[in-house]
Amino acid sequence: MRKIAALLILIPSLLLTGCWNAREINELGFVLSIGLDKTEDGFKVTAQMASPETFSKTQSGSGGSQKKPFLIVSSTGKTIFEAIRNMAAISSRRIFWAHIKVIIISEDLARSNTLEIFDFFSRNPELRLRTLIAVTPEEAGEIIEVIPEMEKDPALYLEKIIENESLTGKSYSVMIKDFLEDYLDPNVGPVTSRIVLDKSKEKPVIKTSGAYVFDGYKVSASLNEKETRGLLWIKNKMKDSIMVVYCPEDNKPVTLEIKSSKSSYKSSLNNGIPHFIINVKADASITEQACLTDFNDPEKLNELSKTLEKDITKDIQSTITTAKELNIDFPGLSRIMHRQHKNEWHQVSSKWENIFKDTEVTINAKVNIQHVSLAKPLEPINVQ
Amino acid sequence: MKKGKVLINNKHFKDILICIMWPATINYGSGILARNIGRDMWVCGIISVLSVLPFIVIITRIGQNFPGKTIVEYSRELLGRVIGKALGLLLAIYFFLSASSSISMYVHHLTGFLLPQTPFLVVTLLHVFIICYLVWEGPEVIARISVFAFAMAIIFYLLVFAASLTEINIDRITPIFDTGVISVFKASLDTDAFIGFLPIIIAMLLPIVNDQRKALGAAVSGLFIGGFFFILYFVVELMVMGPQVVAMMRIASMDFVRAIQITQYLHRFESFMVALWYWSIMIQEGILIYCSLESFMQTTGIKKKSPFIIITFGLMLIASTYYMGHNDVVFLRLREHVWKYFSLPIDFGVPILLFLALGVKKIIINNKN
Repeated sequence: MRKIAALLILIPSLLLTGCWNAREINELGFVLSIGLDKTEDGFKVTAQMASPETFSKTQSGSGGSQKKPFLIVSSTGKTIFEAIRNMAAISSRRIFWAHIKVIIISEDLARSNTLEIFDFFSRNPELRLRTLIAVTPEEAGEIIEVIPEMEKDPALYLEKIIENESLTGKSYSVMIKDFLEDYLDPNVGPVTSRIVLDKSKEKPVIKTSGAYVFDGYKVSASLNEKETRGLLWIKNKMKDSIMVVYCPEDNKPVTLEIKSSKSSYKSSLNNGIPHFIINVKADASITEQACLTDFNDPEKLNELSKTLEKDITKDIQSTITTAKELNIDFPGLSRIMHRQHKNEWHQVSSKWENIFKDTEVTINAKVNIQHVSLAKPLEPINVQ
Repeated sequence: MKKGKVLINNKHFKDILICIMWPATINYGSGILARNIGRDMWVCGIISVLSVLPFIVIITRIGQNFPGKTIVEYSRELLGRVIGKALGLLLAIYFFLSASSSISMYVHHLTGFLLPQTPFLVVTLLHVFIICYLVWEGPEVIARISVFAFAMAIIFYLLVFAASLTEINIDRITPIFDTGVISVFKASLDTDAFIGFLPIIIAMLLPIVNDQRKALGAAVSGLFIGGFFFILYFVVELMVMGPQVVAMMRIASMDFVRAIQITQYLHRFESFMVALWYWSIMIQEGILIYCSLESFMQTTGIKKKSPFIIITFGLMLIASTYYMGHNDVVFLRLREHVWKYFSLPIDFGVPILLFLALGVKKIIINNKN
């Protein structure tokens, strides 16, 4: 037995001297972001790869005169995978998807059909399901080629600005796994980030603004920043954001930082018409004010709270109105109905598309401003 | 190979049962259940664990009537020589095919995610070699490794939990009994197809458990801890990805790991997870092949385990695993639509049959007395 065991160890040791799937790191091209555009007969895939020189302290390789701190490879094909494989004809490094951070899709392509795109990225075992998805009205390949001022790499920059949704409250961030959840739900419209290229400045600047709403496999509409903020309120994503409201007395701006917020929902079905009550509770603090109103006066602070409550209600109302106009349940109200009234839901789920536009939504916002930071506004004080 | 009577203590026994409960269930089971019953898959898990419990009680009580004998040995006394031998052979085949299925799942993990270019047969060959070595060393060694495997399982679940915390959304697992209580109970049979063999394995291991009086307690705690492991995985998986995404995946447990991270510095830990999971699936396969070999030897009357038998079993295992698992479309169809019709009658039918036979035998003896 020992001889057999020794043979069984020896033979595989000789035959399997290296891992079957061995890939040397210096032979790989680490894709950090990818842009997908539409061509006449398929797709144009632009991959932005990490340049080893950018991330190393010492200079290496022969690309010393390279201007951009990253590598761009693009290729076309009838399918995404064909386009990617065609990259091998122009890239000496094997494309490696495991570190991809952002997938940017051009609006043109997203308005045609995205099934193939999400099918490919769900299937690919190398890709993380935490990769961010965004749609742009520009050429997607153009977006990932822009050299950012603050980061070495456009992918890192894109990742950060998309994830900053909670700070700005004007854009949306979604990972593939969450996007797919809505994509596969027949009643919910998925939403992605919207990336725009601001060409008004000397150097074009990439920024996030609003969101895109999908209907089935295609992009249907874009949301402006106000509608996007309403969606963030509904989806409990307004955690560290700010709201600018106006002083009740002189209409000058006051900036409020949202410290915490929680949306809760109640639903009912009255004579076949869905009714939802969205209750938003938010804690905020004053971080800046242009007026001289003393908000240490509880009455005035209460007035400011009411103003913020009205603004929150308006934001959410605008989102709901847009959803009803588009007849796409991107706020995910069907899920609330399903969770709270499963029996009724199973009766109406097949005709949700028809009854959604008649949905009635009541919004109750309750704001609590606990911190004003200063004991008095910045006005001259006579100290006795 | 050790000589003389092999014994494992009750803790080892419990750890073995824990290790054979969860690895395959989270692997293919979660996707199958999500496609069948959606967000109620975790409820199916609970129902399934509770439904296996009475069979464990029955089989342990039967076994305690025949001290030192396995199910294959006492079934001859209860059912007669011919039916008993046929049952022994059936169990040998059942354990063998269950092991092949389990090995296929392990190999799919590697060839589907980590080593996509490595041929199925190569990974199978190397893995079967390890399993055969384990079986040669015997249940005592498997039992000792199961203690380590259990520790690895705890680390696995701690990592899963830590990595999922930021993504957990409890709304994704509600409403409970979404498609009705009956359909959830029916779907729990899919989970039974993964954990239902536990009572029969207990019936094979019982004679080598040190403290027979406490064997039932160890078996029940093994069932509950192992059940808790895979139900927790189902719950967390659902709360992170939602039922639609889980249903889309073939091996949802690995795709789930693609969706979580422990800080941005440990975001690709598929390999860690497979390394931790591996110990339990290895125990499962080792025990299944040990049970198959024992059933075969006891049925055919072979007294001594020889290298020839182990090598023959190993070669047959490679062949059957290859034919069962090399085409993953066929394998998924087999596990999702066919397997339960083969496994559940054995898992639940055999203990009931033996229980009835024991009852009849006792009545006859009482009447004679």
